[in-house]
Amino acid sequence: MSTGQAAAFNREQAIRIEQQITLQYRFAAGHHATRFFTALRDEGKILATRDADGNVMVPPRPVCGLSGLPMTEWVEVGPDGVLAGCTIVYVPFIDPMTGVQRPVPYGFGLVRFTGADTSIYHLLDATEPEQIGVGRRVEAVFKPREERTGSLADIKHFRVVD
Amino acid sequence: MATAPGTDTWIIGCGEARTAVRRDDVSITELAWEAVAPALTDAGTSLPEIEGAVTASQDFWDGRTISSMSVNELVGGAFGSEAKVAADACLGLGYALARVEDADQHLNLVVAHAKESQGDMHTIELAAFDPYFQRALGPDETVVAAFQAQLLYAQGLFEPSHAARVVAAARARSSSLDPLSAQDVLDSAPTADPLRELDRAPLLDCASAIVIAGGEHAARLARPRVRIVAAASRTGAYWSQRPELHTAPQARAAAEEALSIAGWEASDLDAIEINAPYAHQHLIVGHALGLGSGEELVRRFEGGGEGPAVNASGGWLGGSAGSVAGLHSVVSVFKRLRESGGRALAHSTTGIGTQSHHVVLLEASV
Amino acid sequence: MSPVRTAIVATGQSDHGRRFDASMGEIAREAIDRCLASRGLSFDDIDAVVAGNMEMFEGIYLVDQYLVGALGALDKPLYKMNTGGTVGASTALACYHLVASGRHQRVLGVGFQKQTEGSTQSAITTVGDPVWERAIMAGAIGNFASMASTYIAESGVTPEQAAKVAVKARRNACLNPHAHLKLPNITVEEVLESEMLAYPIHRLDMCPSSDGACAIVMAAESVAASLAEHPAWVHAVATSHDQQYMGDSPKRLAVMRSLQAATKKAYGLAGITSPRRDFDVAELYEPASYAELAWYENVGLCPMGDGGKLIDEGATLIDGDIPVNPSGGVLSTNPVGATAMIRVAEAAMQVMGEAGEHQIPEVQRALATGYGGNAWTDVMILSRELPATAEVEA
Repeated sequence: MSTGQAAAFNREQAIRIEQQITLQYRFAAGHHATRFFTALRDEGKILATRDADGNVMVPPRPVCGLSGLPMTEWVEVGPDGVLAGCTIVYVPFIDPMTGVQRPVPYGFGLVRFTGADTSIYHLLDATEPEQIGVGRRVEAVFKPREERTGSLADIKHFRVVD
Repeated sequence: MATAPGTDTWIIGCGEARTAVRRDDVSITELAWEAVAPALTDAGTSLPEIEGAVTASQDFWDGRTISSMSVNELVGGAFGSEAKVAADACLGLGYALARVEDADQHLNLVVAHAKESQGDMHTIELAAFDPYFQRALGPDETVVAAFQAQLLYAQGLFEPSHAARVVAAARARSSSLDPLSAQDVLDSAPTADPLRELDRAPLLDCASAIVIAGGEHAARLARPRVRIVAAASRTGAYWSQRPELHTAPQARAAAEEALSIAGWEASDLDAIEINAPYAHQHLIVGHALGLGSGEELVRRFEGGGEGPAVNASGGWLGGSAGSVAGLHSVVSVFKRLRESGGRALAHSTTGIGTQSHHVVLLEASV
Repeated sequence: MSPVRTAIVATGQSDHGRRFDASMGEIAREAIDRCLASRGLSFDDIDAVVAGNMEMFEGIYLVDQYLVGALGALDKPLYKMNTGGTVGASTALACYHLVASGRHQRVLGVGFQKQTEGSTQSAITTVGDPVWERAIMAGAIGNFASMASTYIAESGVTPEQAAKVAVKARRNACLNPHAHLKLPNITVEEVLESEMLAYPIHRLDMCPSSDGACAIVMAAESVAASLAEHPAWVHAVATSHDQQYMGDSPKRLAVMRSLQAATKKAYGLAGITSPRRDFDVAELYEPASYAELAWYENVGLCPMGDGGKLIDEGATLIDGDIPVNPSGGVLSTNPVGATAMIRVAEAAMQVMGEAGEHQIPEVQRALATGYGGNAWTDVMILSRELPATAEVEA
């Protein structure tokens, strides 16, 4: 359609068909994730994998992209860390696990566990937003043992400590 | 080496994950590593030497936009050059060839994965249908395959028992699926007339990987190797715009182009692998490739008749999945050719009702 | 085998924006038709087609097969690239390799997306790993905001400097007939007063969500000169990613490892030693204002940490010594499947002298970059001069 035709096209005339497709998936977490989340749930520990070069990676994985070496050792890291990146989110998003809008504002950031070379994203306790900043020390706030299911949500959020 | 027609790119290693109906013990990353790790060892190389990869997977099946992100770190993608195609890996192989042939890269992986146990086949396939004219009717690929089979059988060259025997032949050669008789197929539950449940390959979790290398590099690594002589691909019309759904002129055209590049006649081939999700589609493609019709063609799938061995690996019906099937055949052919030498054609398809056809020609002298 | 020397000889774009008047096929054809018509080409002249689109956005599985007619790919090879935000550039790079390898002579590349037709944020959420990342994701915005915080801590760039990038983009867009978001009177104050989405990202710091398409024809040396007066010769291509999880790169954006790796390779191939001096224009894929400042540093237009200084100097304005994104960039137009190809096409237009009102005078060399997913970087260097015949690397 030429520009002229597009300009003349009346938006009221445009037919738009509404459709919804629900795609259901069953994701197998795999043995690295199973070991990680079991330790998180049962012991409140954060595990990582390490290769022969000493790279320590969270999430744990079979091979390290930096070295190309298999990550055969398991080590404990954290559960404290530092903020490698952070923000306060004001725009409401749907929580993909519940379908419910997350109340705003909330803290969101990148946590680098002590001993690890990588970071993971998680929620941040934003009751004192001025405390949140790159480089601040944080610790994981766990849900009570009986509420943990073996997922990242077993950590409620991270809290700035100092 | 470089004076023979075709490319100067070689397969020097291969690996495959353990194929099963449900690999709940592994994530996609771990599944792909089961294929990549042995491929690297087989090729006598390691990840730091890999310059990049072409990966094949489907976002809808993985439930993930940019589905190759699950594998990028273990295919040399970290700081290397990965590109992903949303098609059967034979098309990806065609692209990987170009990246080696233009001397941009010398050592590449071609990796395909599928975890068909994780998604809902009907809804995923529904998403491939025209949103304005077709989706409200709730179709999926089985419905189109059924139209295709109806047209094929009406033509008079084939009948349902032929398709059932193709399944049985594939199962007899499978290393991951149980044997079946043709009668088992004909007795299985009807899905969409005239198709039965066992006319379609089962959904599987699998992954395949090959290491490819430019000529000089391959020679230096001194591994048994097989040359990728040519690759070609042709796209047909969308299923509802193909009145002759039961034919595959694009399969013939792709094969003819590849053979022309190689300077081969069809009679020069020692082995042919044909891949498609439904049994009757093997008859359509086999016929299009000039292998005969009716009883004559079916006997070829069963290991009889004269000429190139057909589907010695068992192909897709014998244990592979969408995106992976063509590469599974390439792996199987590679393993045979590096031992015994010869020339082979591997075919696969992408799209509803075998819309696109991809062909790869392989050769080894021993 | 030495690569065949290869050039972009034609480009075409749709009118990007909210296009309720056009279906996906129609928007792709708008760009393709303009591209082919500009050189009097028809589909008969095309040997292969490469298509880029992120199919989960509109929810069409096997979208390339569905649109085979619109894409002109019937009875041809059709390669469907699928690499996230950078897919348009991955598509352009695939076109290059298919020609440079000697496989085809004239390849059509097309990137397209109709973001009004799907749930963009839902599709972006599926970029996250389902086990490790998806549950916590705050769409694209949370990720960019967090990355920006790391960059600010590293470099000291200010919200005003980022806002200057946002202003430059939307004013440049006014000179581009295809751009989506044109704001001739936008000011730094307006950007800083726009809604705060996630600290420090304001609404006007982020790219829009657009419908649009872009097409190029990549041609071999033997035919390029007959197709374009000044073909845009490809001097280098490179692709690089980071590791697979979002938090793996410790200072992503601030130290964009994949962009550094890809530009290093490309600069080596093309003989670039001082990017600011050697390039006459750059089309960089900037998903947010802060990203462009970080890209200045990581592609070597200025030393690390000096991105804010460069925008303050005015060097990257359309009349500066290294104009960046005279097209308006991603901040003005973002149909994901097309966006990175628009960078390549705009860079090619600059080299070919066909960028109209936003043409930079006397362009010899242009840089185009793509960005997406997990720091997925594509780089292409284009030049008015033929590349020296390549030496095959050992």
